[in-house]
Amino acid sequence: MPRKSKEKQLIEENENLRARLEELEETLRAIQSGEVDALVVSGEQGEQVFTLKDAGQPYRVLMETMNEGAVTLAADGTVLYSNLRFASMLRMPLDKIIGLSIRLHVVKEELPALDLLLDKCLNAACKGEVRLISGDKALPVQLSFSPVLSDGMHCAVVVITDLTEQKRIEGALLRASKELEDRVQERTADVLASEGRFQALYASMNEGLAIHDIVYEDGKAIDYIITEVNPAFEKITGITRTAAIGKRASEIYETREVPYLDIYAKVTSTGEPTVFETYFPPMEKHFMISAFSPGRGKFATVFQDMTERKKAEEALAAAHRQIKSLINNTPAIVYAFDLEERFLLANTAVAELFHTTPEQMIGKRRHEFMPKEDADWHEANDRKVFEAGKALEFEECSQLLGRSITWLTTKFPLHDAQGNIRAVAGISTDITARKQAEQELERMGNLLAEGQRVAHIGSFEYVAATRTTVWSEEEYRIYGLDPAGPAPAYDVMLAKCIHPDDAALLHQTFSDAMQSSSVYELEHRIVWPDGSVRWVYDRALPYFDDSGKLLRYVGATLDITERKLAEAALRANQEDLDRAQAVGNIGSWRLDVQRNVLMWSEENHRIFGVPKGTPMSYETFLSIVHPDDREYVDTKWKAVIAGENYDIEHRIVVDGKTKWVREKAYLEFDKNGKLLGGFGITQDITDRKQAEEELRKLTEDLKRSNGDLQQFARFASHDLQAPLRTIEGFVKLLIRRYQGKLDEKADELLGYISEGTREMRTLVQDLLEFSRVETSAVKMKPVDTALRLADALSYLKTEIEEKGAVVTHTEPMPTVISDHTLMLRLFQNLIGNAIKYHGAKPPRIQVSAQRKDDEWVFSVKDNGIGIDPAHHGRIFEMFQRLHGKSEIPGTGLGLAICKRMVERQGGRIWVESEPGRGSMFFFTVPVQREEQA
Amino acid sequence: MTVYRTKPLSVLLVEDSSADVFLISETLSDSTIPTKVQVAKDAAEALVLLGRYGNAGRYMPDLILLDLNLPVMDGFSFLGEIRNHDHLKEIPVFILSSSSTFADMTRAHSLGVKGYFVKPLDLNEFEAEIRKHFKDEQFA
Repeated sequence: MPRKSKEKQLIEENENLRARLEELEETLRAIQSGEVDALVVSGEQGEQVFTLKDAGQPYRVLMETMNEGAVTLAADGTVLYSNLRFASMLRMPLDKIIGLSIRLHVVKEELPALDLLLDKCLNAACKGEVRLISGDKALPVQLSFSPVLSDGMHCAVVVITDLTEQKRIEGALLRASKELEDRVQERTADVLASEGRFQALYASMNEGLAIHDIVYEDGKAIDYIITEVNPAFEKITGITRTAAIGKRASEIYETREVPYLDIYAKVTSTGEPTVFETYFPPMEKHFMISAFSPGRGKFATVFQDMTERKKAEEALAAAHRQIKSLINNTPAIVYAFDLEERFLLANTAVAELFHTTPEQMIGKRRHEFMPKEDADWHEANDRKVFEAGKALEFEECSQLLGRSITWLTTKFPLHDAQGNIRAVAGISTDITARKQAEQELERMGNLLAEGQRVAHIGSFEYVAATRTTVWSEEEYRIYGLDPAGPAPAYDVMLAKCIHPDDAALLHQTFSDAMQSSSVYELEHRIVWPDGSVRWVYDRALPYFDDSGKLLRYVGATLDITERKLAEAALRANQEDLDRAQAVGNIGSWRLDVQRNVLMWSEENHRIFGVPKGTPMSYETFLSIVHPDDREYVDTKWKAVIAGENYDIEHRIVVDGKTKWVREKAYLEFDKNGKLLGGFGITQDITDRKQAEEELRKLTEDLKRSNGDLQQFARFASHDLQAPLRTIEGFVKLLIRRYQGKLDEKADELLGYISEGTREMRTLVQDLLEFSRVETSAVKMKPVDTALRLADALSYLKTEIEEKGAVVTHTEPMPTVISDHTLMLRLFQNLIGNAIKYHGAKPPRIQVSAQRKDDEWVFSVKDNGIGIDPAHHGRIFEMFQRLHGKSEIPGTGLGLAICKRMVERQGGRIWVESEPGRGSMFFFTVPVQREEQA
Repeated sequence: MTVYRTKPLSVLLVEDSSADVFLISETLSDSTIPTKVQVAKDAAEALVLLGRYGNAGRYMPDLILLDLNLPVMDGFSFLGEIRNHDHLKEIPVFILSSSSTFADMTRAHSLGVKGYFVKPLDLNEFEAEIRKHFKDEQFA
């Protein structure tokens, strides 16, 4: 190789140069040390012999002719002598050198080195290398100083050797040796790497490796010793390296005969490698062993554990048998055609179909077994597979024995080892029944969809593997989406279809359900694309594969918006009811007899002072009832069960306080009359009871005071009136007997007494009448007001005649339900007043009666002095008089009595009047029910 | 035919108040119709006088002037009592009461009284009523 020869050449040259240099140095040394007497110098002019002893001249000759420069220096370095060679080295004329310091010719940087040499050289010979200035170049030289005594002066002789060539050679040598070194290093690295690789390979190879030395005895191989093994050996054989190395095979394997000794001995002796498969009983393993001999008396084995492969082969063979059996026993028909469409393979099912045997079918075309039309179609499908170069699925039909069979066929190409298609195989399954089932399924599916549409129930399926959902048509409608669109992915659905407030809840609930493999169930809101919010109820069940892995959730969705609205309304109603009950202090309860559940409304709990949530029973209730009322309540409640009414009032004790409640129950029966339960109300009537009690007391007080009043009235009428009348009688007697018989003064006094007693009598009579209106029984019956009016007028006959009054009335006067006396008195008093308070003109009095709604309005109108409206309210009060007694006599009780009388029969009385314009008194009598009818 | 009465009109005054007895007696003494007044201070005494409990010494007045407000047995009960006796029920009864109530008047009339005077007795009224009742008789 070129590189190698160059390298060799360089080494040789280097060696030559070194040899020459050494030779020269040796010569020079010899000369200098005086060991040499004569010098033979070989030059271009031939060999010249120089004698050195006493040879001043000859030295010069030598110095002038020698190849080195030579100079003689003074102690200060001044050049005393120089040969031409030195001048040519410096490329300067001699005269510019001699007499001047040598220091001028040395490169500035190396002057210190030179000075050192100069110091030294006067005493002893010395050497040094410096660079001289040679024109514009630096010239490497060696300076060899030798001290001499010339003419008694210390001088130095210096030989200057041009080192340019030497330096060049040295450089080349250096480069060469460097290169050599690099090469050596490279090689070393290669070797190291190669050894490393080998060791790595050796260590990592799957095959076991062992190196052995054959043991000979009498030139015959009797055993072998293991000298090296790799890790795989240890692993495969189970024998550690330490246990193996240095042992004999017979020891290690513990066999009667040394394993495969003959084979290994032959390999070792002939050097021919061999490979063999064997079953090695001690390890119960199959091995494939390669043996070769790496050197004299040695052999190596590389072996593989074939046990698994053997098993696999056997399994393969078994599988092959099984597949064959499978093919022949499957109800599907399995077949293969060569490129000429002839049967290559047909399983039993195919043969049975055509009532023949598989063997008879091989090599024949389909046409021999089925109608041409079908055969052509099926062949066309074969060609499609051939062209596509991959498996294809077809639905094929065959008309066989008058029956149409639908096949689901998978056809696939069969390749040879080179990858070329050699045949088309097919597997066909009779899906005639499945086809029909599919149609039925589709029909059922439609029916389901229709059912869901009608019921407004959607269904969905969540496929765990893909996180996708499949929706029924109705599910889309529930979500307000187009059933033709794609089902939204789970995440999209969460983001877009579920109400933002419920999305996290749904995800959590569903995740939890998946986590625990439990039922997923949730009521949540959804948002339609138009933004409207609806409520749905989801319920889904998980389905798992055989290993318990979640496959999917299948569930239903129900639109419960209406129910939710109804619930909200119901809740609102319940709240309204609770509030109403709280305001009305009315609680309610409901008893479900069959489930034995007693439920109380909030107010009921409050009334009974039982916190909500307390378990309720009839006994709980009874324990709150006042001890004195318990038996009564219990009896009443038991009577209810027997069919009696339950509307009772009783006491209860809440927080130590006694309260009154009214309870009323309504029983509920089914249509067969069986008791279902009851509904009841509890009214807190504590306040009412207290009010009643107060009222009762007040009434008693009132009755007592009324009684006192009646006593007084009786006293007034009988006990007070009787003596009064007696007095009056005596006064009359006195007047009759003595008037005009005594003096005038006495007559006047009699007049006052008479007047006073009459006034008092009127007052007592009016008071009596007033009290009698209150106390006497009123007999309400039909009263002909025309007759009563006539009676009144007859009582007033005297006054009417006296004042020339004219009393008229409307016709006809009605018959009303009232009391005879009351009506008579009313007319009498009001007409009497009208006459009494007459004006300047004779009294004109008009009595009227008019039906207004459900009452009769009677009026008495006069043309008298009238009443200031300021007094209209006062005149109906007791003892209120507007006129002095001397003007118009009266007790101030007349209108008060009228008011009492009107009110006793449920009417009202009022006046419309202006002073000087007459008065009109009105009073009403209610129209009674029987009268209305 | 007019009968001239020679004897004074005998009057049984049933009155418990002695003041009233005095007043009524005095008033009647001023009357143009002569009267002879026999007083019973209560109903029981009157009935004894009238022979309610036997016929011996029977006293038959021309008329009875009866107060209603009497102790023990009131005027109305007395009226009922004499109505049950044939020989007594023919005696004209006139009420002289301090009560002027419509109810008392009505009740008295329903029990067959011949007249009703409200105390104090007005002499003119009394005479008019008596003459009206005894219209066939001529008083002295």
